[in-house]
Amino acid sequence: MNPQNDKKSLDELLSLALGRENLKFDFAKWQNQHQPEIRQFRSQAQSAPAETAVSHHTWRIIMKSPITKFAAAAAVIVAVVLTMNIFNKSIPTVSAAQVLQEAIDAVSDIWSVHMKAQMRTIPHDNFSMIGLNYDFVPIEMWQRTDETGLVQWRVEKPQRILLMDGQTTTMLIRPNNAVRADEPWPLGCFDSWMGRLLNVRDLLDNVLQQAKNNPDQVVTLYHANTEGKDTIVLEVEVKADVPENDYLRNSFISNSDHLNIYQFDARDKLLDAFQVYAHTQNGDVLIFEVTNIEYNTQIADSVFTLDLPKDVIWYQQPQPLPDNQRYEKMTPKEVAQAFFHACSKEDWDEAAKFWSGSKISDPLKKYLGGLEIISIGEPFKSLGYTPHGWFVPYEIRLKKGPVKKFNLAIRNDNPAQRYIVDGGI
Amino acid sequence: MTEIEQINLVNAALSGDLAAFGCLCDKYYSPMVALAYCVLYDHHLAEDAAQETFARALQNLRKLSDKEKFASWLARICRNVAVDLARFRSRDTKGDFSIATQDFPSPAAPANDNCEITAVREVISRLPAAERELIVLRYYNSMSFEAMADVLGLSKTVINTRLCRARKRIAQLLRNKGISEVLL
Repeated sequence: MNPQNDKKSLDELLSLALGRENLKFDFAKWQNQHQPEIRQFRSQAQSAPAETAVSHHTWRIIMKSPITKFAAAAAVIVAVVLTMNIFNKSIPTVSAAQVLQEAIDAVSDIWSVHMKAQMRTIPHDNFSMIGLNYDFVPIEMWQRTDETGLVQWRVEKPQRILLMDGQTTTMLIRPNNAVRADEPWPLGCFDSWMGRLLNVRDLLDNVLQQAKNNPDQVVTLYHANTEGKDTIVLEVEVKADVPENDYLRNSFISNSDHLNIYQFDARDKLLDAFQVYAHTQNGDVLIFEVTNIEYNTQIADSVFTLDLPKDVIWYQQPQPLPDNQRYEKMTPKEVAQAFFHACSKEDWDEAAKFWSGSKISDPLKKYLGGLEIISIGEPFKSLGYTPHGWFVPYEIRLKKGPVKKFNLAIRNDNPAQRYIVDGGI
Repeated sequence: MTEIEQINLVNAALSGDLAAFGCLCDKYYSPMVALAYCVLYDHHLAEDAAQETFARALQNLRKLSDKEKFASWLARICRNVAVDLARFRSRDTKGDFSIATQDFPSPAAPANDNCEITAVREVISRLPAAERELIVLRYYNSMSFEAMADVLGLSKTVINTRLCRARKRIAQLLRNKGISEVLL
């Protein structure tokens, strides 16, 4: 059982199954067959001069990362570590705990982290929201600690930015919805779980706690060597925190059975890559992936400032109304009915009483105004949602004609203690 | 070819230098054929798709926003071309590697290896699309990690991780098919 031979065997089989001799491209023949395209190309080139300057940007991949958290986790999990020899030399004399401790040590002097990642999600929706069939959306994250110990960080995807500038924490949902906390909140707030990757120490603590609470958690550790690069791969299986038939199953990473894969550079023990695969009945789906990590590089001050639009709509918790008692008594189904009814009448003052933001934006008014209610179903709960929340099935016909059938998310854990619409539009 | 040399070629092509575009085609012909093969499972059609990819790229070169990502831009066009071809081709191969067995003459392989090779192709056909693409790119024409990273627009580290996982999955699926003797 020589793992090295295993690898060669698999390589040989794959090469036999797929391999082809070198292909040769006949450009002259291709030109003969594509004269119309070539004529079009030449006419375009003559009509618009191309740039000549070479702008060469090198993205430095230092790949050292915060893997810290796993060290502690491994200390707990080591009893269930399986050493696998699938591809290359195994590491029977090195425990997962050792590997993780070395990784922690390797990032002990990190003062800045810059990560790029991609995730199957919706650009403007919750940071942690996933969809197995969604396209990948780019995510970028920065964190730095200055000489005085001031910590700043930023997590961003195309339609949502979360910034902690050292004093306040602000989230902007483009184009103009925002929420602010006048204090420095920790990474991971506002559902930005991926931000935790930036904080090695917190990450370590989180995984440690997970391991303590889930003694059956499966951890796999193995070596891989490809093209001369020796890496250590740590795989951690994580169980979903909702049942299989839950409405929110596979809607968030924590609501899916998934596999976290951490890859360390065996030489410097730094985190090299991180991926999350959701387990589904039809196989594993890659849902999150860190594509680049830089450590200890200067990050521009502008990264930690946020230019808000002039017409920003600040989120405010619903406050008690003069006749709040009437609304407090309403059931989730009645609230859904009342909210859609107000939208159908374009009575935005009334609709706003059921709305989670401070006011209903113009695009939303345009979208919901004049709708027709087809049906409102029976509310149901999800373990993935707040215990104070319900989902209410609905079917409406929008003013422009299309019918929408979905579930309204409604919750009442607010100062007014009345149900408000939290999502599902 | 260095990255700067490649960007120079793209710039030259944008200026109307067809020979520069030809150099780029030459470099990316094999990767594009391999990518198209992942969709079409037919070598001849895959070559047609690669050539059509270059034709569309030539027409749309001015839309290329990031010259450093020429390869991954080309790859996107290629996938679309291959899907179009798959949609309209008259032959019905149903995307099954096992049907395309005769398309892979392997004279070097002993006869008793044929069933294993067939099994490997079947297993590859069952991989998720992204993993299948990686495996085909890697083994179709012994593509380097650097070239794969260029074409797929990913880092070599990510390629490595994904490839490790795909190989691991293949090994498991082959074991499930009872051909573990070859691997273990």
